[in-house]
Amino acid sequence: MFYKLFITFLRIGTFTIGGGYAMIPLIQVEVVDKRHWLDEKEFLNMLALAQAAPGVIAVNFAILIGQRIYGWRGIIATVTGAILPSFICILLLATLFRHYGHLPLLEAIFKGIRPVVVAIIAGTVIKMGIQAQLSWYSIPIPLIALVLIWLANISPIWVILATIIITLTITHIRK
Amino acid sequence: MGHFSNYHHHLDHNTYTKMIYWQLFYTFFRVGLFAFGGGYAILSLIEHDVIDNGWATESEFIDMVAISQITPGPVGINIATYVGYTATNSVLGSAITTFAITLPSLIIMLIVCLLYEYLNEHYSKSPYFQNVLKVLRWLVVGLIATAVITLLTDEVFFDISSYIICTITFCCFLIPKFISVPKQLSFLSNPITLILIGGLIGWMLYY
Repeated sequence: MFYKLFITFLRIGTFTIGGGYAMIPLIQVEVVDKRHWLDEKEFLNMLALAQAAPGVIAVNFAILIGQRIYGWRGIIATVTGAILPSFICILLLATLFRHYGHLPLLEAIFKGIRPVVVAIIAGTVIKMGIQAQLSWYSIPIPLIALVLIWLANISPIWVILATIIITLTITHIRK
Repeated sequence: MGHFSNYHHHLDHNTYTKMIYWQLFYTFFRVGLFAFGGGYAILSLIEHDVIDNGWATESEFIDMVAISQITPGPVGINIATYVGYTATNSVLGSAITTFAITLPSLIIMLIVCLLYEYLNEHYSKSPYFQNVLKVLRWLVVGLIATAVITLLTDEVFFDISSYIICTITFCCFLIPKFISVPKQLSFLSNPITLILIGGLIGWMLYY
């Protein structure tokens, strides 16, 4: 079982490019459709919990699934499986770029890529704003955060902590 | 005397190296603990520390993001591995950052597993849970916007073409969100395709 879980998540880690959300459909195919380790409803419940928790969503999800199927050994299998391909690929690339990063060809390629990455992150701001259903009364929250972090140079960690505490307090008072 | 100062130099270097490992661990542990909302939320938290600690410049950070996007695996893990390597020039650095960003997930998810039945029952009903999640989703938009502002440097936008590339990519990425496009063209809004096209354009323009 350990081996099966490990191989399954190794495959999931290897064939999903572009991050956590690309992984979810593949996890569903492997874990629910092909191997019947979980049913659809359980899968969705776990996905919701993995997304609600902080950290790398794919790792959260791998931990939940591993634990459910095979206890702590399952966690070791799924997490190492999901992480290992990333780790190896990035180390190889990072080493390559350390040695060849200053070649004019690579420099040129990255000069073209950088504005693309900035555009994608900026576009993500808009997409996430729509998804989070930002409206006239909620928009001050990200705006205040932006001012605090960018202009007042406060660490985003404090802003997140403060937001959690304030939200809990307001919820408590309203109750 | 020379021997003595050599010894001191050695000691300082050692302490410095240990400090960097500890700093990396601390930074990525915190990120694992506080990054709500996955990939880009993680980026926005890491960026601050990476640039302030001098582990990478803005441009190097963008390159890391690009490479993390187009390589297999979760972007958060990719970027952690990458920063760990760049900051220390060693595999140990990568292992520490990857472990550090995973550790909070392990702790939190183990608690979630223990309370699984309870959480499943109450999580969707508790106003505390729901409100915090909702407000954090709003907040993350601001965090990522800050990350974008930090990345608007002269090194990235060094000529007119880089502005044009950025604007066109931005439109390509967002158009499917507002109008329906034929399925055959949807690959044009995929970040991986866009990064590859950007590389191709860079090659043609600047090489």
